Amino acid sequence: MLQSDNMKSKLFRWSILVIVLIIILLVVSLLSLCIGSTGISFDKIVPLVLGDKSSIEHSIVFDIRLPRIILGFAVGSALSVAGVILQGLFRNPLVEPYTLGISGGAALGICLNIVLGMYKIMGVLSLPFVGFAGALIVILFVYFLSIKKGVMKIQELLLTGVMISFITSSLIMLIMAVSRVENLQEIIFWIMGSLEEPNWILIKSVLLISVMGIVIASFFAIDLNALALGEESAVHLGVNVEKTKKILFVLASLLTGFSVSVTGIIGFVGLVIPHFVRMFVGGDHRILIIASAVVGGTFLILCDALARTIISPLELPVGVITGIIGGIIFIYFLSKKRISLGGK
Amino acid sequence: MNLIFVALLFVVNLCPQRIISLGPVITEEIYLLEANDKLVGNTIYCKIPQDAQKKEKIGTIMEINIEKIVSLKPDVVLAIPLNNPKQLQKLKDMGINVINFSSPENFQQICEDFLKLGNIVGKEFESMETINQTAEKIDSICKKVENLSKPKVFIEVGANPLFTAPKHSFIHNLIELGGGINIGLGTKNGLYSREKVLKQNPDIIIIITMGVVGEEEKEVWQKYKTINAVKNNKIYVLDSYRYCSPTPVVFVEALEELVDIFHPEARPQRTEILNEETVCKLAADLANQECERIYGPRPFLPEHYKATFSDERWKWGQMDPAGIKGYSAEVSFKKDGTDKKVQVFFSTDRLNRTQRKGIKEKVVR
Repeated sequence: MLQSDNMKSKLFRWSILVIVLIIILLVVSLLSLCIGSTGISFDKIVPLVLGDKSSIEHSIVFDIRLPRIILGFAVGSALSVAGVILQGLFRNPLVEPYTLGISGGAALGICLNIVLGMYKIMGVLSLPFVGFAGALIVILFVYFLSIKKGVMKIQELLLTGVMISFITSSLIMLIMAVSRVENLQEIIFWIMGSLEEPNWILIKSVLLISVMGIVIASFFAIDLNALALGEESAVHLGVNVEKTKKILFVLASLLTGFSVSVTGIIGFVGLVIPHFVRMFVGGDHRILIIASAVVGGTFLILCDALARTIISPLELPVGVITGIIGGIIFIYFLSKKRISLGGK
Repeated sequence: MNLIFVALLFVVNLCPQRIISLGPVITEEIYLLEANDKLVGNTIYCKIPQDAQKKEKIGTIMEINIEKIVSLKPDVVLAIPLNNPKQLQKLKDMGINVINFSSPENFQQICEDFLKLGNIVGKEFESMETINQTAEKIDSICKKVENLSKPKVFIEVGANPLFTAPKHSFIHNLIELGGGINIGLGTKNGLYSREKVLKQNPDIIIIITMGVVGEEEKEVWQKYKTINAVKNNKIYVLDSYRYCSPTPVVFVEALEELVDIFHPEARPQRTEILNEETVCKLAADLANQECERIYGPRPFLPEHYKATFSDERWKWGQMDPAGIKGYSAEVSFKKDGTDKKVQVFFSTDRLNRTQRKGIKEKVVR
């Protein structure tokens, strides 16, 4: 009885928290819709939604700013959730979506595409696809290397991933050293990462994948809580550890692979947001996953808005802002609060 | 409906009234064609000519600001290969007419691009004329150097790592037209090793980098005493502006500069022509040019100073706090008119405060 009362109040608290976070997300999105190098004031937005579809303002708000906000949310939440899953899975606070070489695989695929000139024949759209193929190859490689007799060795998985990451980055440097200047440019564009994506279908599919990822991850929240106590304890608590590990690894990898192949490498979100959220809501994955998703999305939208406006009309790479702002905020709160990193 | 759209497109194509340039060379060429009144925006790197700096800025070459571009309502956006293709795609998707220009690999492609631009801005005739003139100049230069001995040239376009001009670059084209042999011909992407340069032993080394780095690089090369270029003191540091992405006119200027270096024997002999009168004229002209560039006015006349000849150099003018309208100049060059050094001072440049005050009063009076 006491237990269920406790649970009820917890659920209530969590619901309030999620609602507050979503309200913040909406406010930030709206704000981000209003600011940019051409000032469009808030009271103009509403008539724009209803009215004239051919005006310049309409096209700036709905064709330029809105896609970036949606993509920002999708990628921010996907990376954050991937970060939560991986940190929980490895019980290691330093793991992030890019640690396992998935981004390296995507980057290598895209570099090869650029250097071989494939995108010139098949169009710019082939870049994200080849990037995803690269990510997928790395995922499969790491996955099968780390499975011995049906058991997934978490430590080996981590080490293999880190090594793959080193190998791919060396290969990318090799490609950059021997490629022509025009190709170098393209590679650097991609590595800097940007939420600018012309293709609506890609944006929508990333959004779909990341929402699905959040939902699926939420189903495994209790298993992740159990895993935080250690694999053996989790087995005793009735968790099918092997299956859970495999599913979660693949899920986190796919989330990372999709985001990275569309937007390039946007650092920091996947590492810091989970820690940041954990400081406020604790280590319980039932709330951690959903809260991280919303906070991650909000954070990336905010950073992108800043990147667009800080030295307008010039635009900064969004990774610059995520790193600087994220790092400073994180260190500030770390010094204020005593927290446990990773797991419980 | 479709028909109207096509007709509209045609009209827009015919005479775009609002042009945005995404590359310095395109901006420069638009000014060359005197179509600058139609230019409504360019990048922060578009600095030549000076007026281009006053145009609306739409970002850097690599990161253009799409929102800004859209808000300027351009009829056409002229893009170069260094722009981000994703962003260009976005512009196209929004119904903006984006025209891509190539990164030219030789003079012919530079001309093709220039003609294309002439067509777009409705100045076909002017662009043709410019190209004919420059082509004629190039022809006459080629004829002049045809039968001269060809020096081996190493051209450095980047240090750390060492970069040279590969076969598919207009700089290689420049060297060939100027009657030189580009020893970096064989590289695919321009990456080169110093060892190879030493082995190939170039007669001339040309360094094209910005400012101080160029001088430092010159010192680096001077350590290798076995290279002919070092033995004969033939290492030159050139201003990178002409060799980044030239307009047809700048291409010819660059070619003339290189021919001067490759074939000093073909230089017009000016020694006899330079008497005191012409020296004064030339010096005043140089001083005026420099003064105009820095301060604006052209205050100098040939008779303001006397020309003197010492140490194999002509000298004209002096640093003079109370010079003409507060300006003074110091010009010197070799007796054949090469190796020009020009310095222009405004009265207050090098004086302390009390001196400055006194001069100010003088000037006001």
